[in-house]
Amino acid sequence: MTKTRLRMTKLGPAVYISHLDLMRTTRRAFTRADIALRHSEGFNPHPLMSFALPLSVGQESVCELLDFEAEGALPPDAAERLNDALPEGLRVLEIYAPEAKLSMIKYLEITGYLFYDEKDKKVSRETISLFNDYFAAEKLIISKKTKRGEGEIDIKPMISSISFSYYNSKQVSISAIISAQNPTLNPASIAAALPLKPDLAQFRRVQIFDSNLNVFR
Amino acid sequence: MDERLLRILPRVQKPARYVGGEKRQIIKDLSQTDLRVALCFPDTYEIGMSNLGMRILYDVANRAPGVWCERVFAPWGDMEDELRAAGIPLFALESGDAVGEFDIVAFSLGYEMSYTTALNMLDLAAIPLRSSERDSLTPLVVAGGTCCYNPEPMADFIDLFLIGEGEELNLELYAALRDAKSRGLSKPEFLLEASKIGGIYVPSLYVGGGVPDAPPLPITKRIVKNLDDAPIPVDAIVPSTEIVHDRVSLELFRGCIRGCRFCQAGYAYRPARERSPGLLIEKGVASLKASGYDEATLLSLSTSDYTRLLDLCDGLLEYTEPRNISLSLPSLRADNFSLELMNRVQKVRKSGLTFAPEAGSQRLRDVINKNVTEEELLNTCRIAFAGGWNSVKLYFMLGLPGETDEDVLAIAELTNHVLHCWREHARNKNRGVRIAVSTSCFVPKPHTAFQWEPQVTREEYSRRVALLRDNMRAKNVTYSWHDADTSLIEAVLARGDRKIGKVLETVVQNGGRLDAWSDYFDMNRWLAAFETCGIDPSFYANRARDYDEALPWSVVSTGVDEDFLKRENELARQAQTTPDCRTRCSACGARNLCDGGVCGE
Ligand code: SF4
Repeated sequence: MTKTRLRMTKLGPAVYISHLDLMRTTRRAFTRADIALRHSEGFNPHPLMSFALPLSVGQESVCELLDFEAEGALPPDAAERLNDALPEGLRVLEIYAPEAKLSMIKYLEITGYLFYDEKDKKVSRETISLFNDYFAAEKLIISKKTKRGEGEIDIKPMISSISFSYYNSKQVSISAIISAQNPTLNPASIAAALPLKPDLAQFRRVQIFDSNLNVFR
Repeated sequence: MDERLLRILPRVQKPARYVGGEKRQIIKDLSQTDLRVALCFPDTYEIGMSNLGMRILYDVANRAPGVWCERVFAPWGDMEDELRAAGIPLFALESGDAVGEFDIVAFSLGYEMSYTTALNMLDLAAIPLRSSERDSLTPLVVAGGTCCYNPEPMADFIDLFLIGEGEELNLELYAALRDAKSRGLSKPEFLLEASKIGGIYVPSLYVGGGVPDAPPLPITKRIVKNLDDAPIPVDAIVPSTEIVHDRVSLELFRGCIRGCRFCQAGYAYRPARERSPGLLIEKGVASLKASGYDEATLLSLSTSDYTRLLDLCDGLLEYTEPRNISLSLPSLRADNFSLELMNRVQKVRKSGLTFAPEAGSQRLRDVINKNVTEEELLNTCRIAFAGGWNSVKLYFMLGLPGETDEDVLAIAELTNHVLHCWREHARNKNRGVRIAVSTSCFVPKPHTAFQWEPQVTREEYSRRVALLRDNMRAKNVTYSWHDADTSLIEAVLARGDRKIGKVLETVVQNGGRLDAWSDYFDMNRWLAAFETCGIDPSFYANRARDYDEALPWSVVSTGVDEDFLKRENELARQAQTTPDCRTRCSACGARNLCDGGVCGE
């Protein structure tokens, strides 16, 4: 059986499922849906399935990609069966034959909201132009904790495009296309880089692209 | 979701345990619901979701029309601090509604050290701790579980206790409360009515002179007479985050035929009642299909005593083996039969054998009626080592009644014999062997043959630990011991009376919570609370009681006669054993509860 790819959502309560637990939960859903997965050979066989681009806990997505290999032919109603078996917030949107390897993924489109709760941090139209100007700069150095201690990195090259807009006096909406892997930019780093730090930043992955900004499939 | 929670969740560890949304959680339409139950487990999500009792009672309650039962667990400290800071009261996972809005707040009390967590949960829910401070009929705060065989330490806080097995009893309570709500009964009126239901103990009816119409004490426990009639929760919730026992648990039987004299469960769950293997195989396979788990475990107090274990295992293996699903058999006895079975079941992993001889010498094992001989144990080890196993865990208790230094040293001797056995019989000595010995401090429990016995003091326990440690120097042997502090508190709470309630309250007021976790347990907080309340913990833990002393837990009955427990205590003093229920009935009294099970065989 050849590799199959599915695209699913991770929304609602499911955003709090960690990557490891997502693997476990999905694997069990396959069993419940009565779709047997092929297993690796060897001493400690494990089912052949892998998610592209681990998603941070708390972030939403409508484009989680899972590659898997089923034992035998995939039943035509596989998506429905999986959806019956998955918990709230995880939903299979489509199942298809992959057109490119997961390593060919380059960009992610994200949207999100930045929340400002405290009175002194009230959002205005000026805040938006401040943010947009800030991200128009040549370089955007942020400090980042690494295994070897505190380091500095320039996140500007990892942002293909970004824009902020006014939502209301407590919320800024954000939309960006950022580097998905090699290197990976965590959207949380964008929130951390802002001159006015939000209390809460919520992001959602909406689309995955290759290096030519074509939709990755 | 509450916007405040959205801010909190990214900051706490493992937020998935606070949001619900797992597969098969039950959501009901509030307009079709007339009784809301908050099933509260006074420990973390990972522990509570692993508890079979919770799964059963959740399933039973939600099958009842009009009843919506939801889950509530204790938040970890970081989450609790956030909830308190934000002023968010404790909420149920399914609806997110505050626990205070429910009709019934039901606690499962399975471990004494969770008492403070239960009280802290009430506080987090903004529900007054004391029953007397809650005037309205709802929320009605109730409790069930093994600890309720001594209800007194929690009696000031709990409106009524459910004694025994909950499958039928809980439904009777729900029906009674629904009826009381529609008739507009006051709380005292309802409590008196509810006390007429067999198995319900209402502590407020027996204070001072007592309420005239209150049912006579003791309140005898309720049981499910035929276990095949008790529902098995096949369509249980599958957590989306890893829990402690992430697998299908199949309950083979309740009760135990053995009669170990220290074991509260062994006495309290009498008589032993089995499920039929056909039913277990059918439900086991259905549960595996419905959950997607790749592991199943057989649950009971003593797996080897299940009469049709081979049939059961064969039936289950037929399904599990081709699907790479592992089957585990805990609580096996140290005999050859068990080993054969383990070989058959665990084809790949040969890592751990676990035995609980509980005492090192045959004399002391006779005292506690633990019917396993050194010969049996070594024989099993011999076959195991020859078969390629290379790790053994041995569990013992220190401070058992009548234990001498000789008995303590016998643990070291027995361990040496096991090591020697490995040297003689190991298939491959290059791989080495690991023998892990662990001791805990004996806690005398209510409704056991040792309910009158003193616990050894912390100092004495430490002395015995040191004695044993000094005599267990062999490489390959690791010795670990439980701390005596927790055991002392456990002993006080286990045999406490109503005065202990004040201590619990004080501990909680001083920040006590999650005391079952060493991360949170603070001995000084407990000692300070004893002092504040003028309570001497040694009076409860370290004092021998006379047979004619009125015991606080005599308000409830497990169905086992106190005279039988006295006889057992006397036999223990003479190191005389009592045969198991299947060999010979010892007329413990439990037969009066039902004719089924082992008593009728
Ligand atoms: S009545 Fe006899 S057979 Fe039944 S539980 Fe008691 S001792 Fe065992």
